[in-house]
Amino acid sequence: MRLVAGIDCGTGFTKAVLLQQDDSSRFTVLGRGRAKSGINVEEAAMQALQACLLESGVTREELDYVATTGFGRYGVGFRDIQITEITSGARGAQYLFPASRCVLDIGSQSTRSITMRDTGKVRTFKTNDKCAAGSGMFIARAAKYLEIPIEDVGPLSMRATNPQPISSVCAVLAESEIINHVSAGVTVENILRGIHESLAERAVGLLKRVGIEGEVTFIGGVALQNGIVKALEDRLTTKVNVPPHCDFVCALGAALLGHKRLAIKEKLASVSQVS
Amino acid sequence: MADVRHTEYRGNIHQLQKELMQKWYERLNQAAETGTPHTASLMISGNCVELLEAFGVVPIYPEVNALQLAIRHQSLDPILAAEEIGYAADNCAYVKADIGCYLKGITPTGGKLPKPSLVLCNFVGCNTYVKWFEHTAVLTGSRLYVLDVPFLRLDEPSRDDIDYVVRQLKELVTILENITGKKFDYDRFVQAVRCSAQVEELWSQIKHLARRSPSPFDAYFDAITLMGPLYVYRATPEGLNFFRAALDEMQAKVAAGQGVFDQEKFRLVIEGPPPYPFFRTFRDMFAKWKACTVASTYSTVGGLWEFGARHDPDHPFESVAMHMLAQNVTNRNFLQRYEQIGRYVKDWNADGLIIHFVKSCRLFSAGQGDMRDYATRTLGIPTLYIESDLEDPRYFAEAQTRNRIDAFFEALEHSKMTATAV
Repeated sequence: MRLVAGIDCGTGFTKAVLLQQDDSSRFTVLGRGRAKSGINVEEAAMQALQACLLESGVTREELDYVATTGFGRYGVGFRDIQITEITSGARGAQYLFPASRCVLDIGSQSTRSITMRDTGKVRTFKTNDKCAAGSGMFIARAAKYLEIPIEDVGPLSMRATNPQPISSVCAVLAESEIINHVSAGVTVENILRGIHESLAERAVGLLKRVGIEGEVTFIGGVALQNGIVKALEDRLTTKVNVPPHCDFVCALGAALLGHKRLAIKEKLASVSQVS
Repeated sequence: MADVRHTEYRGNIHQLQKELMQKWYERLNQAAETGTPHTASLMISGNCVELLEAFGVVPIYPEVNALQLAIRHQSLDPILAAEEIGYAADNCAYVKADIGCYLKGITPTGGKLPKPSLVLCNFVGCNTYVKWFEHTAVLTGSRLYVLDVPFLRLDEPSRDDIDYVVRQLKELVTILENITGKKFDYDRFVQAVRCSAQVEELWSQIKHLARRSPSPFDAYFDAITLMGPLYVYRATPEGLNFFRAALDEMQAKVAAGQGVFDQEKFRLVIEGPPPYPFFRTFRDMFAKWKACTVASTYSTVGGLWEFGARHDPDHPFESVAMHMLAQNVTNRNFLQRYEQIGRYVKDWNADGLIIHFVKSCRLFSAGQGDMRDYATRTLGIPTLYIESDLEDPRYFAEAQTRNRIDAFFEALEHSKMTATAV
């Protein structure tokens, strides 16, 4: 039995997953933990891991391996390996939805579209450039301006009757559009759904650039908002897979890849002992 | 995987290159202080340095100055100075750095740059250069001559294209005679052209050594070291000696089985210039994966010689014209750029293609999205597309760039493992 932690050091939040592999090679998620990323990557990683260990009832010493992913992956000194969130996101999505060949990952500041092979290995990917207009930060800023908690954005968006599009390609300039809508008496529900529609439009564009095929799996914190999921499904005219812990998929993928790397390491060690 | 943080070729050639380039800057400084020798500003792509050499005129390459500033992390100040007088945020950053240098009196070495005796706009491929050189002429009060070189529309230039450029080159001879007060020495011109042809042969042989595995040098990052002397000294005996020494040194490395990496893991082709303000950081992102560039299109901006083209001392004017029209990557059409990359991938046995899109250079970067599609679909080679700038540090996002490069190699590593297993 091996225990591997996958830690996704994202720009908004750091997420940790503890993944156990038993003797029959079956994986079980023992716990999850989350911490706000802040400026100290290592501290956030430690906090997320502690929360995860607490939920799992496992001690730090019992951990066999730590795999990090996300923008802060190099900043965690106690890691054994670092993997990009593109590779780990694909692996996690494929584990949860084996028929998935296309992944959309919308995080706090990044949007990624990935196509993969049936093994979960990345075939091609596209990411947003130095612009957060299509990412979670865009929604967070809008929620702040509209004075509503971020958790309410999804449900409110689902109640929209006449979504008002946000046409600006810039997150900062889009705020001016939101102000216009507020001044014109547009309801919060319709504004939020407009934001979701706008984000979905951009996301579909990014997906098309890598080529949509097979099942599409939507991961990342933004996938928690059902308004954008609905907007995506409307555009893709197909159902989109959204895992229950969609914001932990990269951490899960990192843990899966960590298990794989650990197995190779152990195998090599045993070969060298024999020889 | 063990991190390889710094890898570059640092042999005798590296030191020789530094000395040669230093000597060039000293000559420019001397020209600034004493008025001699005569100097001419010109563009690297398709340059006609042989004609200048025939008159003993020293070239000034604003692009070399700009990249030297960037690599020393000094490019932002002159860029901002240019923006303050009205240059737009999306103008070519090379232009802004150069104009800013004149405005602020900055040079990469701290020495002086002369007022050019001639601002020679060898307009090849890049229409921004016409405006750039017009502005340089206004700022320096120097005489401007614009060579109009037709873009290469088909595989080869037409007879009319060649005649048109030759006529302008002969017009330039008269201008240089007036500026220098010297009669045109045809034999010296032929000698300069002969020298260039020999240097091109040596440079070509060096580039072909990168077909070996492991490659003895990185044909992108290390090639840049050799490109300075290639443009400044190509038509001189000093250039010839330098490239003889370079070839000897590379051949010795090949004979000893030495490569950029002890175990070369990936072989790359790179399209587009590097982000000079982050040159070391960018290089290390590839070194970490033991990825060696075996061919690059950027190393052919001054001339595309690895496929056989040479200056011809028997037809000196025509061959200079041919060089300007057809034998440099910026004046070639996109299909030819595709073909060039295709040949590199096949003959240099590359695993992947990296395309670096330069934000402030639409001329070179426009169409690279299609190029990526061509490479992945037609050549079937994994391709990574990254964006920043060659001169403006504000366009470089280290985390995003590193992320894309790491993800590319993670996928490539798996593909290679799978292929090996099969």
